[in-house]
Amino acid sequence: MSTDARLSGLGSRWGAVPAGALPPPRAKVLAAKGALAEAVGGRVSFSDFDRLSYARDLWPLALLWIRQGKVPPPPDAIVWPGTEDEVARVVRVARDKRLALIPYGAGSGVCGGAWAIHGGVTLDLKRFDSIGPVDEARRCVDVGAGVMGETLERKLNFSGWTLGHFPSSIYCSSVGGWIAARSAGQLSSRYGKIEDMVLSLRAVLGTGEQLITPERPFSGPDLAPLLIGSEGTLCAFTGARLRVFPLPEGRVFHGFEFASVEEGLEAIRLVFREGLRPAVVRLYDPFDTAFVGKGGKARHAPVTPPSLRSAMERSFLPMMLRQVTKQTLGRPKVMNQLQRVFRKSRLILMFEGEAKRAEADDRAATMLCRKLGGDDLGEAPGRAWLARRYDVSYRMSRLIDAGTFADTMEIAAPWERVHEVYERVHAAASPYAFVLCHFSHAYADGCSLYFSFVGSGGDEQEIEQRYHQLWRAALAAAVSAGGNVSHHHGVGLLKAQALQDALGDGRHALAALKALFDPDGVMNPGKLGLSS
Amino acid sequence: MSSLADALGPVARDTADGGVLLAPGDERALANALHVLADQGARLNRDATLSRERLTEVGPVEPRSMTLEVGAGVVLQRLDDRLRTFGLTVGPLSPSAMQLTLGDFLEGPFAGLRAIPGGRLEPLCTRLVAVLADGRRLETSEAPRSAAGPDLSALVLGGHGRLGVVTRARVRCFPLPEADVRATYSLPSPAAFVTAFTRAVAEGAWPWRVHVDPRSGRVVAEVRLAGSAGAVERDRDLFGRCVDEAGGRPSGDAEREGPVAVSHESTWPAVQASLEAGRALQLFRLSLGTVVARGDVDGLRLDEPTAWSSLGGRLLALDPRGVLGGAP
Ligand SMILES: Cc1cc2nc3c(=O)[nH]c(=O)nc-3n(C[C@H](O)[C@H](O)[C@H](O)COP(=O)(O)OP(=O)(O)OC[C@H]3O[C@@H](n4cnc5c(N)ncnc54)[C@H](O)[C@@H]3O)c2cc1C
Repeated sequence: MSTDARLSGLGSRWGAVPAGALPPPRAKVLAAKGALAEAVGGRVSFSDFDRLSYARDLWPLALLWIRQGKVPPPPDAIVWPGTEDEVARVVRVARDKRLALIPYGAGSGVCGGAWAIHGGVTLDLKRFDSIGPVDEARRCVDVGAGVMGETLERKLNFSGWTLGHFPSSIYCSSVGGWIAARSAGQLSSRYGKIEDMVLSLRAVLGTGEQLITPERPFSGPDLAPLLIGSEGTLCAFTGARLRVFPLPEGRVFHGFEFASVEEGLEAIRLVFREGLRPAVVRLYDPFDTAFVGKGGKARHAPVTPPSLRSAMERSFLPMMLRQVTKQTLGRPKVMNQLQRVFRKSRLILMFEGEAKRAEADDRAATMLCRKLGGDDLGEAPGRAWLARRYDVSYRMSRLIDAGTFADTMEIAAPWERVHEVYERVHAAASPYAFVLCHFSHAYADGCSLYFSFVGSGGDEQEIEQRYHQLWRAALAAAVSAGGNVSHHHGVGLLKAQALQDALGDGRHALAALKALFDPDGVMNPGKLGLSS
Repeated sequence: MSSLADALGPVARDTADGGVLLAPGDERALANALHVLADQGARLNRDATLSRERLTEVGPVEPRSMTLEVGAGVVLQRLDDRLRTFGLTVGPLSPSAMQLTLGDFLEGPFAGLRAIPGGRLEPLCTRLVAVLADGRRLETSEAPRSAAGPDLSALVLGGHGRLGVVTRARVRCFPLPEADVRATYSLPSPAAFVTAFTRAVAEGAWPWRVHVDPRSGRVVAEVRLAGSAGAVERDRDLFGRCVDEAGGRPSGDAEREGPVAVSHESTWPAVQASLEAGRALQLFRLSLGTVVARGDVDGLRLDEPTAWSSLGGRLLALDPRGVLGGAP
């Protein structure tokens, strides 16, 4: 098969990527082919097929571009190192020849963190795929950075353990990517974010140095928090020692409906103030409660592969859907006004762990929720959520198919600011997209807000323009109301400017770290707003 | 007046032992002083000592997030006394930590860490404000958690003031306990004690401190539980079950005076080894990985700065002029 034909095939879901869409690899990278091949035992590719595959992550902007037949900037080459020495050798070649190096986990990032905006070499770390035995006494496991989430969790479960980290992208994200982007799983209120699970890190810095961060206790500053969240701009992670937990003995679910979002938020706040740590806390805003968050029974309808769909399913229905969606989402402000008629807000709690403790905690939380006027919905909503918990994220592409844009924004704020952030982001985003929100990942001093945006426009150009306007408006509103720019998706390209603005003078400290650990600026240049 | 104190101006004074004390009242004064030190080829922590005596402002309490802005010169015990009037507390820190200023707790060997229910460690503060070696201000976000790039507060926490000097921070508090009880258990061995107590902590128990004493082949552990009446009850039940599963039982033994000794940050295996050697310990800040232990136990000394890990030392390059004093 010719490369072009393969490219067309690859693009068929979105409309073919035109032949010749990829620029040829840069001369200076081609000139380094021998050195790169030597560094990684020959595991290097310059093929257009690979370059196209690694040209993007799951930033929705890429999906919009691909719908238009536009390709995000591809890397010039891809390497697959399998040892730390190999990574270090690649870094040395990159420094020597001034090539950009883009660490790559599984490409599920949603902020463009893995985009090769300066071309260069994508460093795929998936060959770091080892999973050591669980150290039962110390409750930890050594894992390679390239291990996929689901693989790790299944292996741990097999011997009675869990990592407790369940991002919705668990099937398509890697340990290294989690650490690089400071990920949070759905059960983070009990088990913590990924940074809480990391006991020690293995990494290769942009200087080529290999390091292992020390485990507590040690004297002096902790390097790990300065590397975690660096999104490939300072180092490539090759592995980590992670904390694990015994599989929970019991689980208790409870749903409540509150008269308003404010009351639901107050319930969460009081639950955490009481010292309770539910594994799952999700409060849906009124529209989400009325439509999306509803659902008694767990449904698991199989998805029909495209090749088996009838002509009606293949052409007519999507066309109808596109028309209807475009019409309605073309006027998001009206839709957002309409949703204000809904008031009620649904909360899902799940406690897990030692069975009696989980039950006792659930009883205490129930008392608090009832005191605040919450209607007790029993365990059905929580069970239904658990059964479908990974589904919704994978529906996004259908929305894109329908000619819209769809994206999510996850931020965090202290309790006294949460509602204000909610209102201000809602108002700011309203002209550009239909807005939904739920609140999850709670703490004693605040929680995260997870907005979903769906919008459309007259043509692709207008859609893309609205998409950018939306993000600028939503992030500005979030920060001005007292929120931050990301709770768990990271920054990448999407939020790079917002991060730099939010850091204020602190951006110089970030730049100084960059200069220290990546003096030639080869590591993922342009991300986090750090120039090369 | 010495020429250095003179150059530093009103923020500095000579001390009886011939040194210079630098007591800035805000970030700007501190930044200016650092520039002067650099110009003079002098170093903080060598040619001048920092005092945070003028950084003692305490802001209003945010009752919803239970946080407040606190000057880095405020002693934690005093802060705690003041918080009581608002129905709050800084929570279960060790007695030696409570004697420190907020700045020393954040920058020193404690690295500003406290344990929260569930056994995770997190910094006592959300937002912190610091002045870095180049005189620039570092101000972190007050959001509870973030994925907005690396956590730059790590330049300050545990950094002994050698990478940045903290001037104030937003301190996270807990509700003042309405119940405060002690429960005593007898366990068959140090290993059984560690199994039972790490399990209870991981399952959500939140002990304020534990006195543990190996006595004639068994281990007697007295745990202090504080919180809402319901929380204390739930924790006591959980401890009872975890102790029972580890082959222990409740005990009527009265508390013995715990050892008054140096505090260490220690791992659970180090605690077990110490108990196996027959040494009594007081445990604070019980977390999934480490505890603060008073007594004869291996670990990191918390009462004085010790040499940094070599990786931490790499960060000293962020202060090329060495104006914050270089390696401690
Ligand atoms: C459907 C869906 C649901 C999602 N749900 C969640 C969720 O619930 N919680 C959550 O936290 N996130 C979620 N995400 C976002 C995404 O999965 C996370 O950001 C994840 O951490 C990325 O991991 P990855 O391995 O795919 O990394 P990539 O996408 O490959 O890379 C992300 C960034 O990290 C860098 N990087 C990757 N690996 C390394 C490494 N080994 N060393 C150094 N840098 C590296 C890359 O350069 C890039 O900047 C979701 C994404 C999707 C598409």
